[in-house]
Amino acid sequence: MSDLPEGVQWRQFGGRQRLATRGDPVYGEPVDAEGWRVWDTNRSKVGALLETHGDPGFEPDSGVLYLGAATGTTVSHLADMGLLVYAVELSAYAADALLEVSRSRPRLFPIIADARHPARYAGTVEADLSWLIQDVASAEQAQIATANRRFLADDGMSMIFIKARSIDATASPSTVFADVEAELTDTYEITARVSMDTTHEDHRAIIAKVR
Amino acid sequence: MHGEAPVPWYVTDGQGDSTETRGAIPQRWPALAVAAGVSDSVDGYYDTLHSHLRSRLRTEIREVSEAEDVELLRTERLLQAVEAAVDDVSDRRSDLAPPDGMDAPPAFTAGEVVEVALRDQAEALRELIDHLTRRVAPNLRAIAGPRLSARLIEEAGGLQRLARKPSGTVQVLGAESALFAHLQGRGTSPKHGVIYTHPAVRHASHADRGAVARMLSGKLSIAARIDYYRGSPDEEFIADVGKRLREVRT
Repeated sequence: MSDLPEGVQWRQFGGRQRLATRGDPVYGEPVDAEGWRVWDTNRSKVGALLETHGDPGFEPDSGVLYLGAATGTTVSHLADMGLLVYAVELSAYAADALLEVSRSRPRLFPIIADARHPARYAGTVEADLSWLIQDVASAEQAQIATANRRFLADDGMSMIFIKARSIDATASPSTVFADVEAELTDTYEITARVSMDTTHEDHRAIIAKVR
Repeated sequence: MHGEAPVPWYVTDGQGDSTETRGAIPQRWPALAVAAGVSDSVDGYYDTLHSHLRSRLRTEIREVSEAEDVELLRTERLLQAVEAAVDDVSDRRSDLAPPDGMDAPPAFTAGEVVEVALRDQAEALRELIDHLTRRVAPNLRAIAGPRLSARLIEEAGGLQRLARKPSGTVQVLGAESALFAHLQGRGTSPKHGVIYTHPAVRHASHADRGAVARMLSGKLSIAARIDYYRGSPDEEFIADVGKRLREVRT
């Protein structure tokens, strides 16, 4: 089994090994006697990626800008791992859930904002972060990743989950992925491509480093 | 990139989306805040930022729920219009000729096609009301059900207005014409308005009906106030009211 970053472990739940982090439960997931809670990899693409491919290079205390935090499932696990997480979400309807998950996580910073306009949160999110993780359902996924490059350090990395259907529901996913990659190459150098099809249909993860 | 000076959140007091910050380049805010004496330490900075962002989130939640009660009110009005149209079409569907150039089975008249479409619309609106009342008025919904909650909010003109009305007004909401007729010396005072649709009122004996309506409207007023001022369900209150209503029925 592949290496896991600090703060994530394989734990026994109901007779099977599952990914887990340590923190207050937030979505009704099982918790073991030592306080480890299941990271449901069907609900979290970062979780699914760690489960299949291991550590992408998360260092403890690194700063993460997470775009598309939704109700906070994934960011709660990242914060449990000791990462400092700026969680940006467009929908104010997610605010209830983000308020709840950030309660017991002092280094999880929830922000309701539009990732297409990073200047609006540039006074809140700090510079020189290690990771940009992006999971947004927008037709402008490549532009968003490019515009948010400003928060990354020069050796920063990005993890971009591309939802083919949000960009063009009629084109074939492979065409969409190729177009997005072409748009990213001015700003990022793509180091890995991972199909997410086993858990998330027509999704691809791209790992890239800042150019 | 951009030439403008960046403005951190602790200077703009959270108005990070003001035009001042447009074009801003992010900085190492924690270190700058410490250097400027805004925070004692980087950890202290993060603690302040955390509590600041969470309180901003609370404000945003409040704004969303205020917008949602307006959405609920509009949905209820739209549903009433659609229901009236269903009745209207239903009364006259046999009058309507088969649709021109439309591929409906011969057994269906245009009126029937329209009626089915309208009923689907009404059903979708009822589902939306169900969802919105759960968010906007969980206490009211627990006592009055989704539809009556929506009617009350609609009649009052919003959750805030409903919460500020005395319970005697809640009791006769929707019976304004009878109330004004009474005030002008014609007829008796109305016992109930839209709350008539509540089973406790509808099933009460004629003699008890006024007393039940008075009790129920008192509880509905309190529920609306909890929904407006607190926003979360009060299980104890809901259980108490449920008990009172069961007592009334037996």
